[in-house]
Amino acid sequence: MRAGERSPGTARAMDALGLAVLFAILYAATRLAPNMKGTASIVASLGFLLLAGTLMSQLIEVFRVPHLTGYLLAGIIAGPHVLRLIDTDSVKSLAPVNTLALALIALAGGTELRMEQVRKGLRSLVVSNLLQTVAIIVIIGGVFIAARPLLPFTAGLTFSGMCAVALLWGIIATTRSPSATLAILAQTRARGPLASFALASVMISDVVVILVLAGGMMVARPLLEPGSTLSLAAFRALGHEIIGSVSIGTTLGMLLAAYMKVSGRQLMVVLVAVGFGATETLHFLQFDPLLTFLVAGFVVQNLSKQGEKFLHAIEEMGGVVYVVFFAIAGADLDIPLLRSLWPVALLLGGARAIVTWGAQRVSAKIARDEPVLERWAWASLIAQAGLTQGLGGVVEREFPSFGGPLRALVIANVAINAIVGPILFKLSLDRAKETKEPSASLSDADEVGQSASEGGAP
Amino acid sequence: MSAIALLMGLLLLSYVGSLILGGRTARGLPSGIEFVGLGFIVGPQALGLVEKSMIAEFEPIVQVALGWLAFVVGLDFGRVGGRRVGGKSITLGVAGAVLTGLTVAFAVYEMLIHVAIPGVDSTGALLLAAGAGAVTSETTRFGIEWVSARWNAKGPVSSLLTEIGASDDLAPLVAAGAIFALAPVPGLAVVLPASGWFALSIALGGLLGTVTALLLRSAEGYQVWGALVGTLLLGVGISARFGLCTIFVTFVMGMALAAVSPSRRVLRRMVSPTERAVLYPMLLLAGARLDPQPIIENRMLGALVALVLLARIVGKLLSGMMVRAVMPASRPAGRWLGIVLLSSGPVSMSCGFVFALRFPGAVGDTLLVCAAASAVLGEAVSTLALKGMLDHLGELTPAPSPSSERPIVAEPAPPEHEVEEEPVT
Repeated sequence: MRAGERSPGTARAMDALGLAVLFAILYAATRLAPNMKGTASIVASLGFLLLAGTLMSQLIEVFRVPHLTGYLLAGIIAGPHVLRLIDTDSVKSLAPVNTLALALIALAGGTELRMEQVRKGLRSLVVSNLLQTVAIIVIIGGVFIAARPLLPFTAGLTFSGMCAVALLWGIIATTRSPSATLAILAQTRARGPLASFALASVMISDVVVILVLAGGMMVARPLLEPGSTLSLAAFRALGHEIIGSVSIGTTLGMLLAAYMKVSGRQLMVVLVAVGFGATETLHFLQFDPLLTFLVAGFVVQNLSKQGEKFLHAIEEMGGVVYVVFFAIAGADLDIPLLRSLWPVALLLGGARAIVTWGAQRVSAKIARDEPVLERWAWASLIAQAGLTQGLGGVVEREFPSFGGPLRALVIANVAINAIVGPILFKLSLDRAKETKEPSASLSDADEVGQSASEGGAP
Repeated sequence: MSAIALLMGLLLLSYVGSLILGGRTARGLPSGIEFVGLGFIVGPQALGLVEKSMIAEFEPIVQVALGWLAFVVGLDFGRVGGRRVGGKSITLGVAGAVLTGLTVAFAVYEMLIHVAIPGVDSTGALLLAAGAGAVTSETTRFGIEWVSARWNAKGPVSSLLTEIGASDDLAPLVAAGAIFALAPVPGLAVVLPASGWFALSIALGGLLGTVTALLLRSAEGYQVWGALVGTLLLGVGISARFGLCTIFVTFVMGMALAAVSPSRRVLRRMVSPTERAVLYPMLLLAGARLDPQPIIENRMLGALVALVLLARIVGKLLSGMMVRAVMPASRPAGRWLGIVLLSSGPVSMSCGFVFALRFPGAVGDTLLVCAAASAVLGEAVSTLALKGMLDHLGELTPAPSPSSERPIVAEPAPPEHEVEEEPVT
């Protein structure tokens, strides 16, 4: 029997054995060399998360959940709050992986956006984004106010102050997870109206939420700090950031397309250089890396013929980087915080899911969407991850009086949505029959090599 | 220079290296010593563009790069161009390296018994002697492949030398593993004798190689790279945690993977192009890490480096005599055969670098200088000597058009069925 033809039971048993060995090795290392931190710990943690995430995702495949959930689970179990095989310092030191992952995610997102598809689904996308944003801000903001007795940090606020905090919460609730969406689409190789809608909608909402948050903070400040006045300065800075990011993104996209056309070699090295180098430069210039890479990917796809080749390179590399990215996210999830805040987080997360579902049904009817979108598009909008936490951090920085506890609530909410959202999205893609078969394994590649060597293939 | 600028520079080198696929062309110098020189120039001892703190910041990357290079060596150990090297050549290669290593170690130890060097205690003396033997024992296969590619060498002697160069990496890597086992890191919750730590290194490498093979059985697409990189990172991290020799552990891991994986052939095809891409940045960082200060401050350390080079020449001459005694085909090469075995390269630099990272100070810094000096000596003496010898033996075929970018053809490519004797299950 060929290696690739093992029964699923045997394959799963092998995966379980491999996972057990990995946990045993790291467990032994942390117990026998407890004081050895630094480089060794970081490198071992990175390797472990990559392997354990991959194996865990294969093990839980039997439940038809996305791989991403396996990556998160591996991180949670090995992380500083459960088995403590990976300490908090190591998790923090692995942050550069996130930089690279976010660059790849944004590049892939932009490359996946095909002008023709966006144009075709423009009506749906506009109606959905508008309705979702308004409905979530208003209704979830209302639920937040209603849940005030469960939120001790709002005790000292006036009603107008409470409305301001609810507004900010509502805006944060409109964020989606481009990373989770892309990771699931990359895993399932889904193609179809639902996959296209999910991708375009999440990417557009990514830009919309940045604009809305700037506006929201402008409105919230006078309500929270009576002495302050309405200021448009934030919009000026935002305009500069958006125009600059789009310009640089267009240039970068054209350069990448030209490179692909002229050489196209060693794309992995080029992507790493772009991921780290360009991100650093963009931070220095105070432009938004996510938007820049999104535009760059969009330009490569729609203004050149290099889109497919580029996307393939990103997917190949991203496949490895995403495992680590989500496993780190799992290890970074604050489980004790979730334990203390779960009732209110569940309430707000549940309400958000219901509003998303309702708003999407209404949006689909208005835009006359296909039945599959009416039935399942909402499921693609539940997941939340890094962007949500990032905006929570922005609010904490701008409003330190209540920002800390609010961010803790954001983290607890993200913990729920990061686990539930991807599962729902994968389920919806399965039900919509848009998922595809996995690609060939290494054993198959070897078989091809063998056939070729025997003269069976050119 | 900022860390990100250094990273960009390393990526650029990696890009350049990746264009030189697996050392199959004769661009640059065979040992890659020019990148060590470049690193030294931009490093803290010369221009100061790369600061000491920045090198420390890049230590995780260095450890992983060193581990990857040793892993590739392990995966391809005992093979030349996909063809398995005969047992006799492997034994000769290893024996020659051991002989050279012992000669150097003996000479250094004798010197340290009679001359006290500040900063080198009795344990340090033992480490320095054994480490000098390890870092100077190899003959790099790149040197011989480079000459073969540049001047189109073909014949029994060039073929034998290529096989020896591909086989003798075992000796310095095993020696490094054993030396590290002599000095475990303090603060561990378990106490083992040196043999125990050495056995643990082998067990860890073997286990991780087997786990990699297990993971690769059902891996698809990017998961193959994920499994390779993941186990390598875990191996490097765990061995560094215990103070074991990372390059020895990953070398064993590569050998174990090659032994148990049915996909070994595909894996070799996959990883071999990465060798130069990883090597050049590593050499640059090794150059930046070179610190001649202890040698400048203490002339006896300078004398020690000179002694190491002298002992290496003697060791290689003895190795050459041994090769001539055992392999009749090599006898026409003459009594100075050992001189052409003097070229050293990546494995020596890797050994020197791991010693410098693990034993910072006089011992580690001197060993890294020894590795670099050995590579320079090889470039200065061995390359041209090899060319002259092969020319004398009539093994250099005049090429139709002189080109330095021709693929290496040390031996005609064997038929595919002879390339790999192991069946693919």
